[in-house]
Amino acid sequence: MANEKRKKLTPVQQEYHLFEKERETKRPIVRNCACAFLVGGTICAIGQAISYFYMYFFDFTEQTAGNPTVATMVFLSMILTGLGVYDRIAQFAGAGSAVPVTGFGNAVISAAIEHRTEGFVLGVGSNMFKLAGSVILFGTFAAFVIALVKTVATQWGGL
Amino acid sequence: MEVRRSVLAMFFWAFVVGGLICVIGQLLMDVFKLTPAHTLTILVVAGAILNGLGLYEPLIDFAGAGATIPITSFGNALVHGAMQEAEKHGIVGVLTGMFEVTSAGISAAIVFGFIGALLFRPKG
Amino acid sequence: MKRWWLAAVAVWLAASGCAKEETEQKQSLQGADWMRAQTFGTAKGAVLDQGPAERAVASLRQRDDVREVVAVNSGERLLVAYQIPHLKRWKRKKIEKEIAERLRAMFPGYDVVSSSDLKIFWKTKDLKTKMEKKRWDERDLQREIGRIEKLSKEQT
Repeated sequence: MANEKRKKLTPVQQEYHLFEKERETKRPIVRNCACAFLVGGTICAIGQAISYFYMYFFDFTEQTAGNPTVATMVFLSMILTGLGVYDRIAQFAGAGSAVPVTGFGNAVISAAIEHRTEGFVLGVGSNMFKLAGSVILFGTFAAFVIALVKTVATQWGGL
Repeated sequence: MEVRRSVLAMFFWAFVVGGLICVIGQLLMDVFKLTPAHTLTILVVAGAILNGLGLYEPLIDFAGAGATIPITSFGNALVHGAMQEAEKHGIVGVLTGMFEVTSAGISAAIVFGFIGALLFRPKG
Repeated sequence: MKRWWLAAVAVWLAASGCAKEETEQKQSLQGADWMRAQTFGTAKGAVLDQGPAERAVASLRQRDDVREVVAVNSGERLLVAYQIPHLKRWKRKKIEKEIAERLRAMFPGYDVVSSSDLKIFWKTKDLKTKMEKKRWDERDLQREIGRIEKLSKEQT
Protein backbone atom coordinates (compact mmCIF):
# COMPACT_ATOMS: atom_id res chain seq x y z
CA MET A 1 0.00 0.00 0.00
CA ALA A 2 1.30 3.44 -0.93
CA ASN A 3 2.52 5.69 1.88
CA GLU A 4 0.35 8.77 1.29
CA LYS A 5 -2.70 6.57 1.23
CA ARG A 6 -1.84 5.08 4.56
CA LYS A 7 -1.67 8.52 6.21
CA LYS A 8 -5.33 9.11 5.52
CA LEU A 9 -6.33 6.08 7.52
CA THR A 10 -7.34 6.27 11.17
CA PRO A 11 -4.99 4.68 13.72
CA VAL A 12 -7.31 1.74 14.08
CA GLN A 13 -7.32 1.21 10.36
CA GLN A 14 -3.55 1.49 10.28
CA GLU A 15 -3.30 -1.11 12.95
CA TYR A 16 -5.63 -3.36 11.08
CA HIS A 17 -3.62 -2.82 7.96
CA LEU A 18 -0.44 -3.98 9.63
CA PHE A 19 -2.30 -6.93 11.05
CA GLU A 20 -3.63 -7.79 7.65
CA LYS A 21 -0.27 -7.49 6.04
CA GLU A 22 1.19 -9.82 8.59
CA ARG A 23 -1.51 -12.38 8.00
CA GLU A 24 -1.67 -12.05 4.22
CA THR A 25 -0.63 -15.25 2.54
CA LYS A 26 2.54 -14.39 0.74
CA ARG A 27 3.15 -16.05 -2.57
CA PRO A 28 5.72 -18.62 -1.55
CA ILE A 29 7.79 -18.18 -4.70
CA VAL A 30 10.48 -20.68 -3.84
CA ARG A 31 7.98 -23.33 -2.85
CA ASN A 32 5.87 -22.70 -5.97
CA CYS A 33 8.92 -22.93 -8.17
CA ALA A 34 9.98 -26.19 -6.55
CA CYS A 35 6.51 -27.66 -7.12
CA ALA A 36 6.46 -26.40 -10.70
CA PHE A 37 9.89 -27.89 -11.29
CA LEU A 38 9.00 -31.29 -9.87
CA VAL A 39 5.60 -31.63 -11.53
CA GLY A 40 6.72 -30.13 -14.86
CA GLY A 41 9.81 -32.29 -14.87
CA THR A 42 7.78 -35.38 -14.10
CA ILE A 43 5.33 -34.65 -16.93
CA CYS A 44 8.24 -34.23 -19.34
CA ALA A 45 9.83 -37.46 -18.11
CA ILE A 46 6.51 -39.24 -18.71
CA GLY A 47 6.51 -37.73 -22.20
CA GLN A 48 10.03 -39.07 -22.71
CA ALA A 49 8.87 -42.51 -21.59
CA ILE A 50 5.97 -42.39 -24.06
CA SER A 51 8.24 -41.40 -26.91
CA TYR A 52 10.63 -44.25 -26.02
CA PHE A 53 7.60 -46.53 -26.05
CA TYR A 54 6.75 -45.41 -29.58
CA MET A 55 10.36 -45.74 -30.66
CA TYR A 56 10.78 -49.20 -29.20
CA PHE A 57 7.54 -50.84 -30.27
CA PHE A 58 6.77 -48.93 -33.48
CA ASP A 59 8.81 -47.56 -36.36
CA PHE A 60 9.30 -44.06 -35.03
CA THR A 61 12.62 -42.29 -34.84
CA GLU A 62 13.62 -39.69 -32.26
CA GLN A 63 12.29 -37.04 -34.63
CA THR A 64 9.04 -38.64 -35.73
CA ALA A 65 8.08 -39.88 -32.25
CA GLY A 66 7.27 -36.30 -31.23
CA ASN A 67 3.81 -36.09 -32.81
CA PRO A 68 2.32 -39.32 -31.43
CA THR A 69 3.82 -38.45 -28.04
CA VAL A 70 2.09 -35.08 -27.98
CA ALA A 71 -1.20 -36.65 -29.07
CA THR A 72 -0.93 -39.29 -26.34
CA MET A 73 -0.16 -36.68 -23.71
CA VAL A 74 -3.23 -34.69 -24.75
CA PHE A 75 -5.28 -37.89 -24.57
CA LEU A 76 -4.07 -38.56 -21.02
CA SER A 77 -4.83 -34.98 -20.16
CA MET A 78 -8.40 -35.50 -21.41
CA ILE A 79 -8.89 -38.47 -19.07
CA LEU A 80 -7.39 -36.64 -16.09
CA THR A 81 -9.34 -33.47 -16.82
CA GLY A 82 -12.61 -35.38 -17.18
CA LEU A 83 -12.08 -37.15 -13.87
CA GLY A 84 -11.24 -33.86 -12.18
CA VAL A 85 -7.72 -35.01 -11.27
CA TYR A 86 -5.90 -32.47 -13.40
CA ASP A 87 -7.43 -29.51 -11.58
CA ARG A 88 -6.25 -30.94 -8.29
CA ILE A 89 -2.73 -31.36 -9.65
CA ALA A 90 -2.85 -27.82 -11.02
CA GLN A 91 -3.72 -26.43 -7.59
CA PHE A 92 -0.33 -27.15 -6.15
CA ALA A 93 1.73 -27.44 -9.33
CA GLY A 94 0.90 -24.02 -10.80
CA ALA A 95 2.92 -23.54 -13.95
CA GLY A 96 4.25 -27.09 -13.64
CA SER A 97 0.98 -28.42 -15.00
CA ALA A 98 0.08 -25.41 -17.17
CA VAL A 99 3.25 -25.07 -19.26
CA PRO A 100 3.51 -28.63 -20.66
CA VAL A 101 1.30 -29.48 -23.63
CA THR A 102 -1.03 -31.29 -21.20
CA GLY A 103 -1.89 -27.87 -19.78
CA PHE A 104 -2.83 -26.67 -23.26
CA GLY A 105 -4.95 -29.80 -23.65
CA ASN A 106 -6.49 -29.23 -20.23
CA ALA A 107 -7.44 -25.66 -21.16
CA VAL A 108 -9.16 -26.79 -24.36
CA ILE A 109 -10.84 -29.85 -22.88
CA SER A 110 -12.06 -28.27 -19.66
CA ALA A 111 -13.59 -25.42 -21.67
CA ALA A 112 -15.28 -27.97 -23.92
CA ILE A 113 -16.70 -29.95 -21.00
CA GLU A 114 -17.75 -26.87 -19.06
CA HIS A 115 -19.77 -25.35 -21.90
CA ARG A 116 -21.44 -28.59 -22.85
CA THR A 117 -24.69 -27.52 -21.19
CA GLU A 118 -25.00 -24.70 -23.73
CA GLY A 119 -25.15 -27.21 -26.54
CA PHE A 120 -22.53 -28.72 -28.76
CA VAL A 121 -22.45 -26.07 -31.44
CA LEU A 122 -22.80 -22.85 -29.52
CA GLY A 123 -21.37 -24.17 -26.26
CA VAL A 124 -18.60 -26.65 -26.95
CA GLY A 125 -17.76 -25.52 -30.47
CA SER A 126 -17.43 -21.84 -29.84
CA ASN A 127 -15.95 -21.92 -26.34
CA MET A 128 -13.36 -24.62 -26.83
CA PHE A 129 -10.54 -22.21 -27.60
CA LYS A 130 -11.60 -19.53 -25.15
CA LEU A 131 -8.46 -20.02 -23.08
CA ALA A 132 -6.12 -21.60 -25.59
CA GLY A 133 -7.01 -19.29 -28.47
CA SER A 134 -4.56 -16.58 -27.49
CA VAL A 135 -1.75 -19.12 -27.41
CA ILE A 136 -2.58 -20.19 -30.96
CA LEU A 137 -3.06 -16.66 -32.22
CA PHE A 138 0.12 -15.15 -30.85
CA GLY A 139 2.15 -18.29 -31.49
CA THR A 140 1.06 -18.37 -35.11
CA PHE A 141 1.53 -14.69 -35.69
CA ALA A 142 4.96 -14.59 -34.05
CA ALA A 143 5.97 -17.64 -36.05
CA PHE A 144 4.75 -15.98 -39.24
CA VAL A 145 6.76 -12.81 -38.62
CA ILE A 146 9.90 -14.68 -37.60
CA ALA A 147 9.77 -17.12 -40.49
CA LEU A 148 9.09 -14.26 -42.90
CA VAL A 149 12.04 -12.23 -41.62
CA LYS A 150 14.29 -15.26 -41.71
CA THR A 151 13.25 -16.27 -45.22
CA VAL A 152 13.67 -12.75 -46.56
CA ALA A 153 17.04 -12.44 -44.85
CA THR A 154 18.37 -15.73 -46.21
CA GLN A 155 16.90 -15.53 -49.70
CA TRP A 156 17.31 -11.89 -50.58
CA GLY A 157 19.70 -10.60 -47.98
CA GLY A 158 22.13 -13.38 -48.72
CA LEU A 159 22.40 -12.48 -52.41
CA MET B 1 24.57 -51.38 -21.46
CA GLU B 2 25.77 -48.18 -23.10
CA VAL B 3 22.36 -47.61 -24.62
CA ARG B 4 20.71 -47.94 -21.24
CA ARG B 5 23.01 -45.23 -19.96
CA SER B 6 22.07 -42.86 -22.76
CA VAL B 7 18.37 -43.55 -22.18
CA LEU B 8 18.77 -42.75 -18.48
CA ALA B 9 20.69 -39.57 -19.29
CA MET B 10 17.85 -38.57 -21.62
CA PHE B 11 15.27 -39.05 -18.86
CA PHE B 12 17.36 -37.01 -16.44
CA TRP B 13 17.83 -34.08 -18.80
CA ALA B 14 14.23 -34.20 -19.98
CA PHE B 15 13.20 -33.87 -16.33
CA VAL B 16 15.62 -31.04 -15.60
CA VAL B 17 15.06 -28.97 -18.73
CA GLY B 18 11.28 -29.49 -18.72
CA GLY B 19 11.18 -28.58 -15.04
CA LEU B 20 13.24 -25.44 -15.62
CA ILE B 21 10.94 -24.24 -18.40
CA CYS B 22 8.03 -24.67 -15.98
CA VAL B 23 9.96 -22.70 -13.34
CA ILE B 24 10.34 -19.86 -15.84
CA GLY B 25 6.58 -19.98 -16.31
CA GLN B 26 6.03 -19.97 -12.54
CA LEU B 27 8.34 -16.97 -12.14
CA LEU B 28 6.44 -15.08 -14.84
CA MET B 29 3.24 -15.81 -12.92
CA ASP B 30 4.53 -15.07 -9.40
CA VAL B 31 7.10 -12.32 -9.83
CA PHE B 32 5.60 -10.44 -12.76
CA LYS B 33 2.03 -11.28 -11.65
CA LEU B 34 0.90 -12.40 -15.09
CA THR B 35 -2.18 -14.53 -15.73
CA PRO B 36 -1.61 -18.09 -16.95
CA ALA B 37 -2.85 -17.10 -20.42
CA HIS B 38 -0.27 -14.30 -20.66
CA THR B 39 2.45 -16.62 -19.39
CA LEU B 40 1.69 -19.32 -21.95
CA THR B 41 1.51 -16.76 -24.74
CA ILE B 42 4.92 -15.35 -23.79
CA LEU B 43 6.42 -18.83 -23.67
CA VAL B 44 5.05 -19.74 -27.11
CA VAL B 45 6.45 -16.55 -28.61
CA ALA B 46 9.75 -17.22 -26.84
CA GLY B 47 9.87 -20.69 -28.40
CA ALA B 48 9.29 -19.18 -31.85
CA ILE B 49 12.06 -16.63 -31.29
CA LEU B 50 14.49 -19.28 -30.04
CA ASN B 51 13.87 -21.31 -33.18
CA GLY B 52 14.43 -18.18 -35.26
CA LEU B 53 17.83 -17.84 -33.60
CA GLY B 54 18.55 -21.51 -34.22
CA LEU B 55 18.71 -22.37 -30.52
CA TYR B 56 15.67 -24.59 -30.05
CA GLU B 57 16.75 -27.52 -32.20
CA PRO B 58 19.91 -28.16 -30.15
CA LEU B 59 17.76 -27.98 -27.02
CA ILE B 60 15.49 -30.73 -28.40
CA ASP B 61 18.54 -32.81 -29.33
CA PHE B 62 19.79 -32.41 -25.79
CA ALA B 63 16.65 -32.71 -23.69
CA GLY B 64 14.20 -34.66 -25.86
CA ALA B 65 10.72 -34.49 -24.37
CA GLY B 66 11.98 -31.89 -21.89
CA ALA B 67 11.96 -29.49 -24.84
CA THR B 68 9.14 -30.92 -26.95
CA ILE B 69 6.48 -31.26 -24.23
CA PRO B 70 6.46 -27.68 -22.84
CA ILE B 71 4.32 -25.25 -24.82
CA THR B 72 7.46 -23.45 -26.07
CA SER B 73 7.86 -26.27 -28.58
CA PHE B 74 4.58 -25.16 -30.15
CA GLY B 75 6.14 -21.87 -31.23
CA ASN B 76 9.25 -23.73 -32.30
CA ALA B 77 7.30 -26.20 -34.43
CA LEU B 78 5.31 -23.42 -36.10
CA VAL B 79 8.47 -21.65 -37.24
CA HIS B 80 10.10 -24.96 -38.13
CA GLY B 81 7.25 -25.97 -40.43
CA ALA B 82 7.11 -22.53 -42.01
CA MET B 83 10.86 -22.53 -42.68
CA GLN B 84 10.76 -26.04 -44.11
CA GLU B 85 8.10 -25.07 -46.63
CA ALA B 86 9.79 -21.74 -47.32
CA GLU B 87 12.94 -23.57 -48.35
CA LYS B 88 10.92 -25.64 -50.81
CA HIS B 89 8.42 -23.12 -52.17
CA GLY B 90 9.87 -19.72 -51.38
CA ILE B 91 8.08 -16.97 -49.52
CA VAL B 92 4.58 -18.46 -49.99
CA GLY B 93 5.69 -21.48 -47.98
CA VAL B 94 5.88 -19.35 -44.85
CA LEU B 95 2.11 -19.18 -44.80
CA THR B 96 1.29 -22.66 -46.05
CA GLY B 97 3.84 -24.59 -44.03
CA MET B 98 3.06 -23.14 -40.64
CA PHE B 99 0.95 -26.02 -39.34
CA GLU B 100 2.87 -28.73 -41.17
CA VAL B 101 4.63 -29.94 -38.05
CA THR B 102 2.27 -28.64 -35.38
CA SER B 103 -0.88 -30.39 -36.50
CA ALA B 104 -0.62 -33.15 -33.88
CA GLY B 105 -1.06 -31.01 -30.78
CA ILE B 106 -3.93 -28.91 -32.06
CA SER B 107 -5.86 -31.67 -33.81
CA ALA B 108 -5.44 -33.91 -30.77
CA ALA B 109 -6.71 -31.13 -28.52
CA ILE B 110 -9.74 -30.56 -30.77
CA VAL B 111 -10.63 -34.23 -31.21
CA PHE B 112 -10.07 -35.22 -27.59
CA GLY B 113 -11.72 -32.03 -26.39
CA PHE B 114 -14.86 -32.94 -28.27
CA ILE B 115 -14.73 -36.57 -27.14
CA GLY B 116 -14.20 -35.35 -23.58
CA ALA B 117 -17.26 -33.13 -23.86
CA LEU B 118 -19.25 -36.16 -25.04
CA LEU B 119 -17.99 -38.44 -22.28
CA PHE B 120 -17.74 -36.28 -19.19
CA ARG B 121 -20.17 -34.03 -17.40
CA PRO B 122 -19.14 -30.66 -15.98
CA LYS B 123 -18.40 -30.75 -12.27
CA GLY B 124 -20.00 -28.21 -9.99
CA MET C 1 -27.39 -20.69 -40.25
CA LYS C 2 -24.53 -20.08 -37.90
CA ARG C 3 -24.94 -23.47 -36.30
CA TRP C 4 -24.41 -25.29 -39.54
CA TRP C 5 -21.40 -23.27 -40.36
CA LEU C 6 -19.78 -24.03 -37.02
CA ALA C 7 -20.58 -27.72 -37.23
CA ALA C 8 -19.10 -27.87 -40.72
CA VAL C 9 -15.91 -26.15 -39.58
CA ALA C 10 -15.58 -28.47 -36.58
CA VAL C 11 -16.00 -31.56 -38.74
CA TRP C 12 -13.62 -30.28 -41.35
CA LEU C 13 -10.95 -29.45 -38.78
CA ALA C 14 -11.23 -32.84 -37.13
CA ALA C 15 -11.24 -34.66 -40.44
CA SER C 16 -8.32 -32.76 -41.92
CA GLY C 17 -6.32 -33.19 -38.73
CA CYS C 18 -6.70 -36.94 -38.89
CA ALA C 19 -6.51 -37.37 -42.63
CA LYS C 20 -3.22 -35.55 -42.84
CA GLU C 21 -1.45 -37.97 -40.57
CA GLU C 22 -2.66 -40.82 -42.70
CA THR C 23 -1.54 -39.46 -46.04
CA GLU C 24 1.88 -38.77 -44.60
CA GLN C 25 2.12 -42.36 -43.44
CA LYS C 26 1.09 -43.65 -46.84
CA GLN C 27 3.52 -41.43 -48.66
CA SER C 28 6.40 -42.60 -46.54
CA LEU C 29 5.44 -46.22 -47.13
CA GLN C 30 5.68 -45.94 -50.88
CA GLY C 31 8.81 -43.83 -50.98
CA ALA C 32 11.19 -44.01 -53.90
CA ASP C 33 13.90 -45.65 -51.82
CA TRP C 34 11.73 -48.66 -51.32
CA MET C 35 11.42 -49.29 -55.04
CA ARG C 36 15.10 -48.81 -55.60
CA ALA C 37 15.98 -51.23 -52.85
CA GLN C 38 13.94 -53.93 -54.51
CA THR C 39 15.25 -53.56 -58.03
CA PHE C 40 18.79 -52.72 -57.04
CA GLY C 41 20.28 -55.92 -55.70
CA THR C 42 21.10 -58.75 -58.05
CA ALA C 43 22.81 -61.16 -55.68
CA LYS C 44 26.42 -60.85 -56.70
CA GLY C 45 28.10 -63.14 -54.24
CA ALA C 46 26.91 -65.48 -51.56
CA VAL C 47 29.52 -64.48 -48.97
CA LEU C 48 28.71 -61.20 -47.30
CA ASP C 49 31.84 -59.19 -46.88
CA GLN C 50 31.53 -56.84 -43.94
CA GLY C 51 34.96 -55.26 -44.43
CA PRO C 52 33.80 -51.72 -45.18
CA ALA C 53 31.43 -51.79 -42.21
CA GLU C 54 34.22 -52.89 -39.92
CA ARG C 55 36.54 -50.19 -41.23
CA ALA C 56 33.85 -47.56 -40.68
CA VAL C 57 33.32 -48.72 -37.10
CA ALA C 58 37.04 -48.71 -36.36
CA SER C 59 37.40 -45.21 -37.77
CA LEU C 60 34.48 -43.75 -35.83
CA ARG C 61 35.53 -45.40 -32.58
CA GLN C 62 38.52 -43.08 -32.46
CA ARG C 63 36.35 -39.98 -32.20
CA ASP C 64 35.58 -38.71 -28.74
CA ASP C 65 32.13 -37.47 -29.81
CA VAL C 66 30.96 -40.98 -30.69
CA ARG C 67 30.24 -43.50 -27.98
CA GLU C 68 29.02 -46.62 -29.70
CA VAL C 69 28.98 -47.58 -33.37
CA VAL C 70 27.26 -50.29 -35.38
CA ALA C 71 27.61 -50.66 -39.13
CA VAL C 72 26.30 -52.98 -41.81
CA ASN C 73 27.07 -53.02 -45.49
CA SER C 74 25.75 -54.81 -48.51
CA GLY C 75 26.53 -54.21 -52.13
CA GLU C 76 27.05 -50.49 -52.48
CA ARG C 77 25.11 -49.63 -49.36
CA LEU C 78 26.76 -48.79 -46.07
CA LEU C 79 24.66 -48.11 -43.00
CA VAL C 80 26.37 -46.62 -39.96
CA ALA C 81 24.55 -45.90 -36.69
CA TYR C 82 26.20 -44.35 -33.66
CA GLN C 83 25.40 -42.73 -30.34
CA ILE C 84 26.65 -39.33 -29.28
CA PRO C 85 27.65 -38.84 -25.60
CA HIS C 86 24.80 -36.99 -23.98
CA LEU C 87 26.56 -33.76 -23.13
CA LYS C 88 27.74 -33.45 -26.74
CA ARG C 89 24.22 -33.74 -28.11
CA TRP C 90 23.98 -29.95 -28.19
CA LYS C 91 26.18 -30.13 -31.28
CA ARG C 92 24.35 -33.12 -32.74
CA LYS C 93 23.65 -31.55 -36.15
CA LYS C 94 27.27 -30.51 -36.57
CA ILE C 95 28.63 -33.89 -35.51
CA GLU C 96 26.23 -35.68 -37.85
CA LYS C 97 27.31 -33.53 -40.76
CA GLU C 98 31.00 -34.03 -40.03
CA ILE C 99 30.68 -37.79 -39.76
CA ALA C 100 28.59 -38.04 -42.91
CA GLU C 101 31.21 -36.09 -44.85
CA ARG C 102 34.04 -38.13 -43.44
CA LEU C 103 32.39 -41.43 -44.27
CA ARG C 104 31.57 -40.25 -47.76
CA ALA C 105 35.21 -39.37 -48.27
CA MET C 106 36.35 -42.72 -46.87
CA PHE C 107 34.01 -44.80 -49.04
CA PRO C 108 33.70 -42.98 -52.37
CA GLY C 109 31.87 -45.72 -54.25
CA TYR C 110 29.33 -46.32 -51.52
CA ASP C 111 25.89 -45.05 -50.81
CA VAL C 112 26.56 -44.11 -47.19
CA VAL C 113 23.79 -43.57 -44.67
CA SER C 114 24.78 -42.47 -41.19
CA SER C 115 22.57 -41.58 -38.27
CA SER C 116 22.86 -40.79 -34.58
CA ASP C 117 19.22 -41.65 -33.96
CA LEU C 118 18.53 -44.18 -31.24
CA LYS C 119 15.87 -46.03 -33.25
CA ILE C 120 18.20 -46.41 -36.21
CA PHE C 121 20.86 -47.61 -33.83
CA TRP C 122 18.55 -50.24 -32.37
CA LYS C 123 17.47 -51.42 -35.81
CA THR C 124 21.01 -51.63 -37.14
CA LYS C 125 22.18 -53.54 -34.10
CA ASP C 126 19.23 -55.86 -34.46
CA LEU C 127 20.06 -56.47 -38.10
CA LYS C 128 23.66 -57.21 -37.20
CA THR C 129 22.77 -59.80 -34.58
CA LYS C 130 20.31 -61.37 -37.00
CA MET C 131 23.05 -61.58 -39.61
CA GLU C 132 25.26 -63.50 -37.24
CA LYS C 133 22.52 -66.00 -36.52
CA LYS C 134 21.49 -66.93 -40.04
CA ARG C 135 22.89 -66.65 -43.53
CA TRP C 136 21.51 -63.70 -45.38
CA ASP C 137 20.87 -63.28 -49.03
CA GLU C 138 22.50 -60.08 -50.22
CA ARG C 139 19.23 -58.90 -51.68
CA ASP C 140 17.36 -59.39 -48.43
CA LEU C 141 20.05 -57.54 -46.59
CA GLN C 142 19.92 -54.66 -49.03
CA ARG C 143 16.19 -54.45 -48.72
CA GLU C 144 16.49 -54.36 -44.94
CA ILE C 145 19.15 -51.64 -45.12
CA GLY C 146 16.96 -49.70 -47.53
CA ARG C 147 14.10 -49.92 -45.09
CA ILE C 148 16.21 -48.50 -42.26
CA GLU C 149 17.56 -45.80 -44.57
CA LYS C 150 14.04 -44.73 -45.48
CA LEU C 151 13.14 -44.54 -41.79
CA SER C 152 16.14 -42.37 -41.05
CA LYS C 153 15.13 -39.86 -43.73
CA GLU C 154 11.59 -39.43 -42.46
CA GLN C 155 10.72 -36.05 -41.06
CA THR C 156 8.01 -34.42 -38.97
